[in-house]
Amino acid sequence: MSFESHLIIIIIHYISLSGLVISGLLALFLAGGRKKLFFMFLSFLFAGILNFVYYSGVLFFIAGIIIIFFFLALYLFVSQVELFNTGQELKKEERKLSRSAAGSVMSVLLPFLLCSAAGYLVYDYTSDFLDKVSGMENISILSLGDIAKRLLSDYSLAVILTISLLFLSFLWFLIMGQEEK
Amino acid sequence: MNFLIYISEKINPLQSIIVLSASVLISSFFAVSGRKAFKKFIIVITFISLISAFYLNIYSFISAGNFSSSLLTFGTLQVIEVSMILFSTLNLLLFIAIYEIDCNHFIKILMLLLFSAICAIFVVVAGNFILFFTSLTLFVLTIFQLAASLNLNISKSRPHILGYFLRPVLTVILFFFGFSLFYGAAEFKSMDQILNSESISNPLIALGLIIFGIAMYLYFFLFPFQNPYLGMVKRSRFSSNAVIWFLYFPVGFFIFLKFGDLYNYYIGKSSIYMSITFMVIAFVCMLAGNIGAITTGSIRRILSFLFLFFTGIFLLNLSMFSAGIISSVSTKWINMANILLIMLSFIPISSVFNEVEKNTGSDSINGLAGFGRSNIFIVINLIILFLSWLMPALYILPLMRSRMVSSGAVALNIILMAIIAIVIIFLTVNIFRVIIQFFKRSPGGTVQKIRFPRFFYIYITFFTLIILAVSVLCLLEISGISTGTGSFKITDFNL
Amino acid sequence: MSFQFIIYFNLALFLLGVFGILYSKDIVSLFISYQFIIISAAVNFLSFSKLLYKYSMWGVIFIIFGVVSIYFLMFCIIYYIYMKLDPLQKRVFYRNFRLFKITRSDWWGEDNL
Repeated sequence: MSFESHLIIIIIHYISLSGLVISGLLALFLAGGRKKLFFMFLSFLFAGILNFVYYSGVLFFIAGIIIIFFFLALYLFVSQVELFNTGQELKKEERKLSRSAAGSVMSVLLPFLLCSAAGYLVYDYTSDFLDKVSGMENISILSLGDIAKRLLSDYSLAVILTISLLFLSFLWFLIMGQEEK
Repeated sequence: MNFLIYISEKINPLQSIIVLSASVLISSFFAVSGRKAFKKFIIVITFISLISAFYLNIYSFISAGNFSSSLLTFGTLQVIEVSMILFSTLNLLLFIAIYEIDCNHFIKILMLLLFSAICAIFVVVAGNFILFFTSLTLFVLTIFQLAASLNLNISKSRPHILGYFLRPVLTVILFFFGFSLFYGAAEFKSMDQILNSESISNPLIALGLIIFGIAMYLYFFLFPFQNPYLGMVKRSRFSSNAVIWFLYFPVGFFIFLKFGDLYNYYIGKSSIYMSITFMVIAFVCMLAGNIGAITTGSIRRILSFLFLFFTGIFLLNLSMFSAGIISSVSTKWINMANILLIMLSFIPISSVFNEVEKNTGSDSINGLAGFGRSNIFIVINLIILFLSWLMPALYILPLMRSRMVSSGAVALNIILMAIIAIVIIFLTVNIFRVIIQFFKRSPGGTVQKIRFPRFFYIYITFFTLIILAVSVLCLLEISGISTGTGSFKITDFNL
Repeated sequence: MSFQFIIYFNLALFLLGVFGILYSKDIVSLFISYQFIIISAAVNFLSFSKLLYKYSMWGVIFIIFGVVSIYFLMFCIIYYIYMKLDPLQKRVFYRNFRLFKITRSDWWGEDNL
């Protein structure tokens, strides 16, 4: 592999990682369901680009089908709730649910401290081992055919289980979709 | 006949799954029907398939012995666990058939129940992490679909169902992350690989185990995270609660047993601080369960809290192992005995209380007043079942006293004994509070006899007799009297 | 791209997900946090597979099964919310929902909502 293409892949890797974090943080902290959903989908797309960086782009398409359905359902839910929320009602609710400044700070500070402490402990415990591990980059692009062959030869039970559940879930969708008496 | 044996060998050890799947397939032709005749037909098919699966499960193990492949593991423990799942599903079939037969989606619900049993069996027999994880996720999904379907007409339970099932979703996601760490440690793909590997003490494995521990803690809704569980059980139909208590929780216990050997390896090497941590967590969980049960007047909440108390016993076993009182083999055995006790006692008790609630129209414990005076046979059975909860303590406390010196950590043992004694006192208070209520005079003066269906008496007696038989055998073994069971002893679990 | 950087980054992503779960006040933020953890696990699998195990396919297959089953589970939950909850209940999940809520009735007294 040429130096330029290697450099391009590294740049894309950094861009997708930073895009993932930035869009995820924006999704977490921004108010408004549609904005959250937009940035959440963006973070999913950056994660998809990461798949290509790891030479497993086909994963993005295989898993993406189900993930798209998930985002569609979430979008329908968010749109439905926001559609019936007029501007005045929204402001009234915001005032009711808004916390005091101290409450807001505590709600961010406490989880942050807990996660930082956990992160430090984990880093301290695993750094000795991880620093000794040397990775060797190998380039091998996965194809759908290889994956399908492996799935059907070694993991056919899991495939059958998953497909059966998809059929059975269709019945459940029928149950949920019917009107109540 | 030879052909059947040949087929059975080919599909070993999935015979029970294939039988259940056949039943699901037959039911699918009648799925959209609402006719009672078809519903009864499907009940019969499901019943036969569960009994056949139960028989084939044991027969396949006796004829073919242990089985191990890249995907599946099937040994003694798996046979027992699969049998318990099938027994549980049989009881759930009974409850759903009695209480939900008028539901339009009855056959679909039965199909979901069978499929959840299939996923549960896969969770138990899976050897490879991929199959284990997939079956666990699909099991959680089918339980959610079952709970949602069974509570279709109860709108107040819906937010609580959602609040409940968002927790196992997190459990599953944490498992996903944990398995990635196992993979990173040394490309581990199954539990056997880890246990037989030199890299078992890899830091990534330890980190993964911590994450699995947190995930299981959330799965069981242990203190102080029991809010969604209590909210859902209080508002849902009995058949939905039965699915949670007798399918969802037992599968969690079996997952805990699956990781047991790995946890025991780390706990065996751990310091005294880990023992104290486990003791504190176990004590808090069990005490909170009892206090919650004492302070409430709702029968559903009492049962929910007591169920959490028994879940806390698994943590107590871990702390006893970490203190060196029991070996890892006996930890497994005591855990299995705990699961059996939970199932054999809670199934009849919860079904009786559900009937009482149906008849009195109230979930309050005051509804039990006078119950003992009018339904003496049922109450005697209930008293025996309640008192069976105290049996393990009567065995473990003297055992701990006798092993206190030989195990070394005398102070830890004393603390553990104190913990067990305190929680047993609280449990006894809870039990006698309910028993006294049975014989209290009802506020109105007159006591209306609650009419149970005739088969109910046989059903309750069946569980009572099993528990009585096991108790008598244990007492005879402890007293040193020969029980005629050969070399197998219930109380002799390699302590 | 060093192995250590990727691993610590994935750990940070995981902790970001945990932070989101503890901080989130609505169900959309909760799913965002879940997504962080799922992505960190998937990238773990991919990076281990690429850098340590010469593209062993096991990790990739685990990702397929894992992501498909988890997202299908979450899809069913959202479907249930959309189809079965009444507008008031939906509003509660949308505006004021915490995964970990501790109240007095969890361990003392009655739960009379």
